[in-house]
Amino acid sequence: MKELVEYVVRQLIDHPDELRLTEIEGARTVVYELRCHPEDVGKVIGKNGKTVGALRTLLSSVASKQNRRAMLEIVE
Amino acid sequence: MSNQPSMAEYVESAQAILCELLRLLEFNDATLESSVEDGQIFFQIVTAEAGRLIGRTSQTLDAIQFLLNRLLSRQYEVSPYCVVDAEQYRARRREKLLADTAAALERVRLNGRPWRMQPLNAMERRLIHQALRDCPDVRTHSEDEDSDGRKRVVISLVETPAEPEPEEMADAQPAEENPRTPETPESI
Repeated sequence: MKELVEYVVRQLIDHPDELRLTEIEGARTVVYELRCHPEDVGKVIGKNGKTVGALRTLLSSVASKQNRRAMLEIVE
Repeated sequence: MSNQPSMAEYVESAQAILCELLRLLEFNDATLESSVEDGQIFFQIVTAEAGRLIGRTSQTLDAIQFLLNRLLSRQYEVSPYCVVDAEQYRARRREKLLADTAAALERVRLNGRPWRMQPLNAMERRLIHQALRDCPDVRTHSEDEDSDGRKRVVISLVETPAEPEPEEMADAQPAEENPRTPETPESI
């Protein structure tokens, strides 16, 4: 799942070397905290949060296959 | 202009992104078929997990399509639009929405009251606006978002000020000689 977020986000942003993605594993849940260059935050979020919304939808799809929940937070 | 990539190159790039997305989404058995129509690229995905791929009210399929188009547009200055489908979901959904729209149109013409469609996403609302564009006796508009951020299309009769509004329309006999529908096209 981490690879999925990285694959998509890396291509959207202008400063891929400043992308930090941390994975916090729980029993049934996993939380991804995403940090990136301030100029790239908007690109990751997208208009009306559409891009990050689509990413969360895809994360949920993979997580459900593993009977888990996945969350994606953008940390500023 | 002279160095614009060929359609085959766009298809190849889009297919590479989509294959990678499907791999990362763990659709290990997925196979792809692509076609080009009216300048758009269509992908039909075949997998045993079509239910998970489409998602509730096609939200997963729509998310894949949205991100595919975002990623493709990052590679080129201009790029064709990609449509992602599985089990002919898009075609079936389109037929269903057009049937709902035809039923709603009939209803509005019969009782004269505006009809609110179910909440739909932007692509689906567009389909309905387009379908009713050539019906001069009705107009469509999209309502503001409700508290859940969903929007509905409202179909209403075009105001005809010359005609006084009849008092009790609820029990009036339908269709025949309806003064507000001078022409009643059967199809939309």
